[in-house]
Amino acid sequence: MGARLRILVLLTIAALLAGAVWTRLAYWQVFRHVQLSAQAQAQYHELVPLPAMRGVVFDRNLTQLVVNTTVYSAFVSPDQVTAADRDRVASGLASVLGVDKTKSLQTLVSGSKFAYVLRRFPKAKADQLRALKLPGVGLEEETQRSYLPGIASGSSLAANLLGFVTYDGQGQRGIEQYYQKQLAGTAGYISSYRDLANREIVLGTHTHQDPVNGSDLVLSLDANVQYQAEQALADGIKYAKAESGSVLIMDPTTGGIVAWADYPSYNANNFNHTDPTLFQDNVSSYMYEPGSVMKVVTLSGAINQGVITPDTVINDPGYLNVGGYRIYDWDRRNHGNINYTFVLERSLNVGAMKAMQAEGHAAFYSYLKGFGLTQPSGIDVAGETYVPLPSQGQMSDSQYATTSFGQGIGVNMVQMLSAVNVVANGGKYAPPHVVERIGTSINPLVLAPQRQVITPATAQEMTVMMEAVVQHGSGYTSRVKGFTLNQAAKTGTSQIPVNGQYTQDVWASFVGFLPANHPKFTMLVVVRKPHAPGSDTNWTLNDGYITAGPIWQKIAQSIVVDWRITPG
Amino acid sequence: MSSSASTSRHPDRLLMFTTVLLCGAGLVMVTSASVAFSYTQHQSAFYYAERQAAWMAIGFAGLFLLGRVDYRKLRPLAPAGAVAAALLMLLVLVPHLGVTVNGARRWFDAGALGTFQPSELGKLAFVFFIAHWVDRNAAHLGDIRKGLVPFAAMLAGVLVLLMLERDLGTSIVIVGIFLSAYWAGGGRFRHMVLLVGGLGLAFVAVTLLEPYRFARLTNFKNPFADPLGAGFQSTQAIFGLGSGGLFGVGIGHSVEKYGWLPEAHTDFIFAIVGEETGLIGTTLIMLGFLFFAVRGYLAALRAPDRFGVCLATGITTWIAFEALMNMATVTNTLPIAGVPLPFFSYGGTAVATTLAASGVLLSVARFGSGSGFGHKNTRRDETSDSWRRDRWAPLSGARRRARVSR
Repeated sequence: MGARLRILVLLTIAALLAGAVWTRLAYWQVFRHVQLSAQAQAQYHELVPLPAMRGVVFDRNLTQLVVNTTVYSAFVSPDQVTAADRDRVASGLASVLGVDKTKSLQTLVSGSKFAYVLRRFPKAKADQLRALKLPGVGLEEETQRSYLPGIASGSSLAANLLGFVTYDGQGQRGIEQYYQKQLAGTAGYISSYRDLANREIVLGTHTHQDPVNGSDLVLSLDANVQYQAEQALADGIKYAKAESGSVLIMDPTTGGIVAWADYPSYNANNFNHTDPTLFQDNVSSYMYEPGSVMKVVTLSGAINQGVITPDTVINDPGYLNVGGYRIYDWDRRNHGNINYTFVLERSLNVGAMKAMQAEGHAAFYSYLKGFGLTQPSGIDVAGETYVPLPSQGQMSDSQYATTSFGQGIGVNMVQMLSAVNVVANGGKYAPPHVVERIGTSINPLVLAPQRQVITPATAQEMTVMMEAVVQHGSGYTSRVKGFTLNQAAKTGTSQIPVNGQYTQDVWASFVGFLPANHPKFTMLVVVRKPHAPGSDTNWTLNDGYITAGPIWQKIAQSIVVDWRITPG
Repeated sequence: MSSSASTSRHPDRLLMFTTVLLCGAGLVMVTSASVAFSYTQHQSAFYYAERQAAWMAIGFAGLFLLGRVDYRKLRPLAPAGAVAAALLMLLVLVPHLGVTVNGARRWFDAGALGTFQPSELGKLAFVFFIAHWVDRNAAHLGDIRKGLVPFAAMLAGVLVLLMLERDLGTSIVIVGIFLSAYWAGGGRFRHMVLLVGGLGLAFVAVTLLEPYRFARLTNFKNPFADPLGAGFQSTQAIFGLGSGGLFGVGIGHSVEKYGWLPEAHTDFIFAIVGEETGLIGTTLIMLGFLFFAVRGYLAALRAPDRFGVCLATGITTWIAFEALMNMATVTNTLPIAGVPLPFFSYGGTAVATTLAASGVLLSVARFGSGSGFGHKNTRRDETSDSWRRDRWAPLSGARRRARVSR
């Protein structure tokens, strides 16, 4: 065998060995890279999160509506509890935390390294547990949102407006969800690497990021009014034996929401033991047909177009034929020659349809748009629902006719109240909002110019008509002592359609503002499916002026007192 | 490339260049890998880096010196050198003279330079001696009594010495040096088989005798079975390699070197190379050693005499196979043997003697001709490229055997 061949053999062995090693290298470094990196990181990389403090929420008077509280969770390390101590530990846990003793004993015998005993209990219990000095038992601090108590033990104040926060810090529903980003802030962290002796490695890889705490929110809400509204609503709903009801109150000049009440409601402090259907907020995520409340919009538009005046006389035989349908007034009576003030007072559908026909479909549609009924209100609360209206050309004659008195059109309460508020705000549309300030910056909606929908003169004329509703018409149930001659209102009752057929169930509503000459608030009350006493024989007893009006009156009364509003 | 005539006196610049590059990379990596350990042990992040650099300087001095001197002039020193090395290796076992680390006594205290390991010097001494012996006994190398038995006895003697120092790693390298020189010098194939078989049996015996070696072997099968115990070192090495991925975490950014990977700056430095420079870095270094092997074996082929052939083969095998064995260990391709990575692993004596050996290799390359010892008459003006072509040339095996083996 020649020298060259002998050397070649050696080189071949080297090459084969190198090939084997390289295959192995590629396997570890490329094929297993992700998995091995993760395993290696788990062994020496430590990421300590620095949680950001969630912003709190204030009402307009800086009453704190939600507080961050510290709660405690108890855990046990069974492997650190000697057999002799087990019984003492288990009975200690049972006496302070009320957990099942035999279950605790089972956990202790298991010899595992970590187990929660009980999570999220108050500081008092934590202090008691600490005093016992049980071996192997530890406490962990966690933060929790605490909301103000509501009218009853089962509810917290403005629960449907505020929403709640899950244990992992996610805002759910309402303000907590809508402003999640601003409230939550940005969590920080300490990232460090450890050597085998668990000493920190400080060469370059150490990074530290401070948390940025969340912003506090200041709402336009008034906690006192909110409380009164919730109380009056609950009473009213119980009296009317209704399925549910809601109250929405707005500051007429700014569009800021003063109260946002739902009944039934829930306790946000106990959200994880609450039937999720109760989380539903009926103010912005429930579509209803506004009924006669819509006549305020219809007649305002027609007056603003100059096609009618409050004194224009029309003939109302109790019905009108439109697009092949005969549409009746609610009472199906022949009212003869009447003016539009009377139409509004008695809430006559024929009048509303004639006003709409007088201005024409295009103008009517443009007022629907102007009053904000063709687009979502944009309210800064999570979960607003909205059903788009068909385009102007797609709506049939009969649909225009029914829309003029609030049937066949779906709105949410925020949209409807904002529309009626145009009249209270001198003809300008004030964009509805709940949050006035985020941290130190003012909600730009508050500062934005408001669009003029109808002239101040039209608004004034409509206000007078709505005052007549209180003085002579269906609004008498809402009369507030001392403001009888200075409050504006409109009732609404619409049958609830099921599968395209109207049923005997109704949405009863009442809208109004006070004082009429210089409104301090605009309020809309909606009662869903009332079954008022006596309504089984006379279903008109479920009407807005019977069921929603008194609720409106009660709340208005308390606002007048609370805000020291004087007549005149 | 030294494509000049048969009387070439140019140094092999490529071999030289490869050696310098590997040393440079090695110094960078030993600095990076040792900072943490160095700081905790000596309150100076560069304690080991400084010593490695100093020994490397000594090594390069040796390399330039030995590279210029004709290796044949050193041949008379071979027997005395081997005896001296063997004596030093014995002396280190004497209590109080040697330094014990991790239960093994292999070092002398070398003052400011750290420690001195005679067995590393032994590699250089024995490669000279075995090349000398093979050349002198070339005529009856094929004879069992005159060739194989004395050879096996010498090898066994050295191995016994090394086993007394509990130095399995050096033993494996010494076996490589002896066998490759014997093979290149004309050793018979069936004798090689006998030797390898005998050594294999001895290896098994030694492994079964020492519990920690047996543990290494069982652990080799699955280091993740006991990641905190016997498999700790392998597991950490694999974590290091795996974390590096394709491009590495960047030089200096290894976390494994912070106490996680034992022997991060010595035997397991290749894992830190993998972590910091990724597959790109490990591949380049492997290619560097392979290229070193090609140039080294080429020098052996071009050597003017049998002594040169055996010497160059022994040195090349020593450095190249030591590197590959080390990489195989780190990548869990082979069980842990305790072999350092030449030019990279911290170890003063090792880096100095490895560089000195490279100097001898350069000397063989310099004083060798374009056509090697085996082709003196047939191939006068060969170039290195033609050597590659010759692999396919229809040469009679019998003729070549007649020339070299007998």
